Amino acid sequence: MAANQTKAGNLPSKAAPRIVIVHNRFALGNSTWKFISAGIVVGILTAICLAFCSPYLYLFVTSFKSAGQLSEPTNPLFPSDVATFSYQGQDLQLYYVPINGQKQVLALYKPGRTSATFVDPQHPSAEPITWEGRTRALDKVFIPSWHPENYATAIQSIEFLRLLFNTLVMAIIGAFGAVSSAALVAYGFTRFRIPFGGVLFTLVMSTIILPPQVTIIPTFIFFQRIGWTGTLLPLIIPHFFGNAYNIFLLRQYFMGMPYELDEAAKVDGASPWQVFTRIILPNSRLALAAVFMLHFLFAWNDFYNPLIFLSGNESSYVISLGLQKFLQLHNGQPNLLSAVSLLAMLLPLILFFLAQKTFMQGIVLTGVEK
Amino acid sequence: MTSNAATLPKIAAGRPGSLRRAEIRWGYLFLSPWIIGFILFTAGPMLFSLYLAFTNYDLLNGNYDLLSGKNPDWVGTKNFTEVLGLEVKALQTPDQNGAEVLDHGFAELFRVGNTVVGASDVDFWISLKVTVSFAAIALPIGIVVSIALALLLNTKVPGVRIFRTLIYSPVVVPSVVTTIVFQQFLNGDAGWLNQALKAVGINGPAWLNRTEWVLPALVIIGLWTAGGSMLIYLSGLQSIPTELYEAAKVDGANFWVCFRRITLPLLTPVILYDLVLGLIGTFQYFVIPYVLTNGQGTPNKAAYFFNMYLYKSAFAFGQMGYASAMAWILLVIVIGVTLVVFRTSGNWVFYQGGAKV
Repeated sequence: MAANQTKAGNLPSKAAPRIVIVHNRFALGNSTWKFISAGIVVGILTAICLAFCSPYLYLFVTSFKSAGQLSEPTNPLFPSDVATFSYQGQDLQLYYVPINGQKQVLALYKPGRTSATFVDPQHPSAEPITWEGRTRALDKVFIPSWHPENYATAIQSIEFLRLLFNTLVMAIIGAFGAVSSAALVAYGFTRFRIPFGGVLFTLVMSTIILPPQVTIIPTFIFFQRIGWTGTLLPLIIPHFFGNAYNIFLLRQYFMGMPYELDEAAKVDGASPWQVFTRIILPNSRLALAAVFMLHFLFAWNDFYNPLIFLSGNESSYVISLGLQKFLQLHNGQPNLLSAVSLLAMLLPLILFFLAQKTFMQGIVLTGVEK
Repeated sequence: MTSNAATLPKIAAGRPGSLRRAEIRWGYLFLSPWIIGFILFTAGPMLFSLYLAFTNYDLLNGNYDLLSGKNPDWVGTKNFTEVLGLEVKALQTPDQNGAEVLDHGFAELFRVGNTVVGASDVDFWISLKVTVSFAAIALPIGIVVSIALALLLNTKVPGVRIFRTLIYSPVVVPSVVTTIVFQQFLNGDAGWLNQALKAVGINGPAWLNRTEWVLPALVIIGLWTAGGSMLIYLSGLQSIPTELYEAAKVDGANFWVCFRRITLPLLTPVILYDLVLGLIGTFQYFVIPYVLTNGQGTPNKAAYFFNMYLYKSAFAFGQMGYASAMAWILLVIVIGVTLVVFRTSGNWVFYQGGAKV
């Protein structure tokens, strides 16, 4: 009662600012206001996107730098070397030297504490110029110098092609299993009235909150006993039995499909299997593609399961695991690390950019990113 | 076709419900992959892990064969008491060595004045503390940032789809790659973040080498993939009926009033969902801290998450019985936290139409 009264009592005072705002809108002009606010939003979003994309830029430029460029703190953003000038058999570094208020490009001939001798590359035969000041404060002249050979080195030392092959085998076969099993189960849940169907579906969904740690130890013992650890099988086979997210996604999709189609097919004498393969599957290609892609990305990015099931057998390593081992060995070589990192994220990113609509719809439908 | 025509009347004429029984058979047939998988990879392992939790199963030394009866030793609740074991003792002086007063097998966890608290497994409590503190920092920040991003990306400004794609894209980057990038990115001297901070006059810390900064560093890494929750909030925003805003506008409500009175209440179910999954996810948080610290949880175990300790117990130390006990403790914690969140959700989650879950 008391709350109701205060709410009612507030009403008149709330009505007062109403007029002020409406008046403001008119003063500014609706379209002008919209234009300004859109400009502000675009500005903020551009800044955020720059921040979000800076790790990509970091990987890109670092992967093309040499070890020497990385250890040079004044080195510019893009891979560059200090420009040099060949003088009397010596490679002299070029600097921007301010002389009489003008910056000239000169080659450092004899460095010194308070003064240095420079040679003018335009007139190498002229007398060397003596300049008073600290050379360390001068800006060096940089020229672009990219090192794509980092990629060759990295690909070779991480055995990238083998990792790629293993990862593709694991991700593609697993994705096939994930799609087919989830489709079968979702079809079973949507098109058949079965006893305990509701209970079973609740059970499916409750596996989402089950921490994998509760099952991973016995699963590991089981796979070890049948000799599957160190192979890709533990990373593929379990996905042939339906995963809760995928089942949910396809169930939502199948429920939205008109039942008249399968009823008509049934009248024509089609078996439930024929309805499944001829009506349900062909009409849900987009949803199936979304599940395929979600699983492919999950498998490509997964590190936890490969770490547990593949440890000890390097020949069956997948990209994520190979990358972590590479990190342990080459922590001091950010250029090689960046090169392989870039390669490892290229395929998921390309896949995402190409099929983002299918992908995002799939995510929104399940409400979950794996 | 003819055979079908012949069998159909037969079914109809047979015992009532034979069509219905065929439907049930087909239904279970289609569900069978999941049912078999559930028994093989969920229910079976769960029961087995519950059994293991009461044994001393040792991966490295034990040579068990459960089929021929070579079982690990049954140790009762020893694993559980050892994981959870705590004791409180009084110190004679505040700077006395804790080991002098604590029982054998206990190590000092922390002290308050003249009282020392000892644990039989200090690492368990440390990892629990790290995990809970991380959840307490990362989840609220993550929710606020994701909602803010979703609000910005729900506008109809030019290029908004490109912005959405770019902000979401880090979610598909492999976690190992994310970790490698940020290990460089958060470097105290040459890292880009500190370089950027320096440009605006702030001296950034050595993020990954300082006990007090490593969790904030992990929060920053987590924000890079905020696009995942952003997308969920975005779809939540898009499902809010526009008539509500139009009605509010007629009443002269400004942006802030609309947000407080319409957007936020109608987003609370999504927030609840994000919060629950975030809590569950934090207890499984593994890849980034593991790769970042090479499994050590450095510095000073400030990034030693629960799941890292569990992994180490099971697969590095081979103590699978002990680790199974930890896994079940984790399950109880996760269920408990989820229930608490759901119970309290009635106070702040708003359901359209007044339906409560």
